[in-house]
Amino acid sequence: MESDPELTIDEQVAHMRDAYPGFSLITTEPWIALWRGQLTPFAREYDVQVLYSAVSLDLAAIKAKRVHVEIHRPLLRPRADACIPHIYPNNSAPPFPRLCLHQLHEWAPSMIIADTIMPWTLEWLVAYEGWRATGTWFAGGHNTEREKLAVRRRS
Amino acid sequence: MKTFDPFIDDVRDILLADVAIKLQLSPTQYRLAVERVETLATWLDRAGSPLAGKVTLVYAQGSMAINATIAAHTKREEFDIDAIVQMILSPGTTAQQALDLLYKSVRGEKGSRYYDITKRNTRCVTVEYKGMHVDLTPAELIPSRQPRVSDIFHHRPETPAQPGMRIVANPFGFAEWFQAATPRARHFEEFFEKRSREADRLLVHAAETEEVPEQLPAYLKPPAVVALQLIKRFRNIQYANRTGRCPPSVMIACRVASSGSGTGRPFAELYFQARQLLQFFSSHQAANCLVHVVNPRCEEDVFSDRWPSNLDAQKVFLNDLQFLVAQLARVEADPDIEVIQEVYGRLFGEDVTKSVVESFVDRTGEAIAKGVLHTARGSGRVDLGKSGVIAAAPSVITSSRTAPSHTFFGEPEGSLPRGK
Repeated sequence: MESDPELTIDEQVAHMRDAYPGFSLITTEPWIALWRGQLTPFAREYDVQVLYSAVSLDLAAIKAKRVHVEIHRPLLRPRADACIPHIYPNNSAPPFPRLCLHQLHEWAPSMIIADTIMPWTLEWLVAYEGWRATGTWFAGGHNTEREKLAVRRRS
Repeated sequence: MKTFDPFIDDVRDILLADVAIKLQLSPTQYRLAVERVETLATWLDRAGSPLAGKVTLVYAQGSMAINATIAAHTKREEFDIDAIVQMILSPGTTAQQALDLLYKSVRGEKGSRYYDITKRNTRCVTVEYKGMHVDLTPAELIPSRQPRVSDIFHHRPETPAQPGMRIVANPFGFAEWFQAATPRARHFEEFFEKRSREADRLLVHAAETEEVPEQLPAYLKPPAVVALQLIKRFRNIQYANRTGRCPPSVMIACRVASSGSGTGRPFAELYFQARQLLQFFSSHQAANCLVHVVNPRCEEDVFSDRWPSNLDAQKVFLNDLQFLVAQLARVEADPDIEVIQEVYGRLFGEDVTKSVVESFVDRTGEAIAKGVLHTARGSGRVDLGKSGVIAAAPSVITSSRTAPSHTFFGEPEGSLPRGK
């Protein structure tokens, strides 16, 4: 993976345009792209912001060569009994925590955002809706592995 | 009548259908009900029975005849089976005599299996079994009328000095009319049948009883029948702790089939039917009059003859319908699974809904964990059929695909506040 060439911002923009034409490109420069659009995994529509930057922007809590995904509407909500799993805080805009979609080694700038981050975001939203309803994150992940879940449910 | 026949792929429909499946009689219950009515028919014709040779036909009426029976929602509640006992009576037989004759014939002599479980009611004779009861309504054909137009009988057992009265009815005609008036939806019926069979296989496997029969008419349900069952379930929950009569099932069934809906989808059908019922009752209440609903195949057969007794009783059900429509509007609007669970739970029972939702969420979670969840590019819509979440659902999204392998990573513990 490390030997694969990084995709340019323009290439990422082109892939997004093809795969998610409803997403608006709000900002694009040679080093940053910001999209906003809607995803509807089941029946509820979510306003989603996707930001990719080649450089770090400390004031905006943006790290270089990472994709930052935020849900702007409806606001993500914890349950009465638990914090939202698989997010990290967004110090520049606290109501919009960022989705923790993958481990560091699982994504690189050589990968197409539209083919990775976007479906992972959808999976996150599916898991989140289920978690809101049931209190259980059924979709696996670090510290929420289904194997542990099965043990808990059997016991 | 314009009808639609869409594929069933919307989460509102799938969860509603799964809730409805939980309301169905199990194959064992269904078969038991049929067998018990058949056994009673044979029993009535036994040698020595006062009705030997005088029962010409015993047939299902009411919910069983239109395939809309629902299972009990509490352990205390029973499901009921209604049957007509068509009898040959002597000229001049009074209502009291007809009902007493059937009661005596069912009950038999002391020591018979029915002796202590048979009860005489105002219009029927009830045989009480554990968990279910069979209502047998005596009837006599009226020769000059359409086939099966009959007199049924009304007499209160606590007023033996009064002879009671005959009432013209045509339950067979109503069942025929209902089935003809109810639009079919092939895709939904196939979906519902497959989902029902899946559910029953699990049930049968768990109970280690007999195999599920291959042909079971109870599986074949148009969306309007499913909507009717859900409305009945809602009514039963609303009236569980109220005294007095509740709106009769046959009246609701008649209004549902009269509505001419053909949405093809269970949620849309339920929402449509709830709104048209609300409109029907609202308009009557606003005009200070009681609803009047008759059998479309026999105008003397008045379904509203015992309910509503007054405007107050009608208003109670009107309030229920307003609540039903308001809740369904939330699901129509922009729901996530949590809202759907909350609404279906309030309307049709929390335990049933919770198990349906948890099973669905577990299956979608498993699809994600296995990397087989298909989503559509563009909208992000989950393709439940291709993802294997709903085995019975066809794939309706042509370009859905799975995501590469990944791991949702951990959250910083306590980094965000808890609470709603």
